[in-house]
Amino acid sequence: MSDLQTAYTALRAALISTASNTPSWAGRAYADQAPAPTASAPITRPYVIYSYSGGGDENALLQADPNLLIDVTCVADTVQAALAGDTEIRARLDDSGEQDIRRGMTGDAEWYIKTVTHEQRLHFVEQANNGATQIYHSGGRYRVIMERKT
Amino acid sequence: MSATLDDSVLRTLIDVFPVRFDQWLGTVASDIRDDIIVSINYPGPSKPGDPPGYDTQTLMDTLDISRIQALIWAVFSPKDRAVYLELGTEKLAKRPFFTPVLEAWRQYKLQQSAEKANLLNV
Repeated sequence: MSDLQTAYTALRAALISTASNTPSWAGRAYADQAPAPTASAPITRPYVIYSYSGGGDENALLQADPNLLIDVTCVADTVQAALAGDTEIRARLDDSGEQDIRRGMTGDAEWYIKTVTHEQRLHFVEQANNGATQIYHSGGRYRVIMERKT
Repeated sequence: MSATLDDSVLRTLIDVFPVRFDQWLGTVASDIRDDIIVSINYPGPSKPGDPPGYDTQTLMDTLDISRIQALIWAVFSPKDRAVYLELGTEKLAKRPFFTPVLEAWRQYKLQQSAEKANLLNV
């Protein structure tokens, strides 16, 4: 499994986990982009997008040592819903790596997920339908530091 | 276990040579803008996840730098499109062009630039 695939899998697991005080994002968490809606599978806001934004191996260790930036944002119809979603996401992800204080996220047979750290806040308003509709995006940029086990 | 980063020498150098550091940061901002322009200087259309290519060169032409105050410089574009491309929208997969360049600077280019400017050997 690639480093990014492991990171995506762990992020998704943390987002949809039911072992949290906040509602699970199960069925409302998408990698990279929400799929195109269909009649049988509409996409309803709010939902969460997690997507790679930058970074790569630090090359500070003999084994692969990815240092990835992954954006996780809540997409909502109102600013209040977007901000509330961001708060819930942060409660699930920030400081949740295997070496972090909360230790909620783990890697797999090939990779450690050492730390997951909230960095910059992301917040913007998308002017959809030529400005007739506003879609609010709010979330954070998470630095995911990993290390290959084998 | 905890670790503390000792940046006292760097802070002293900045206090003693503020103009020199400010000028260097201006150079860094300019170089970052140039790196972004290089990364997007190919014809579109781009693939999701890749930096955006150019159709009209609007994004490229609006990238600019600005000195906000002493020791704080900004690299920016005034176009909404820049945010949409960098972070994605509901219907547009993101095409990051700013973050990958910043990450390269964080990883090694900033140190190279400081060494080239002989900043740390005063």
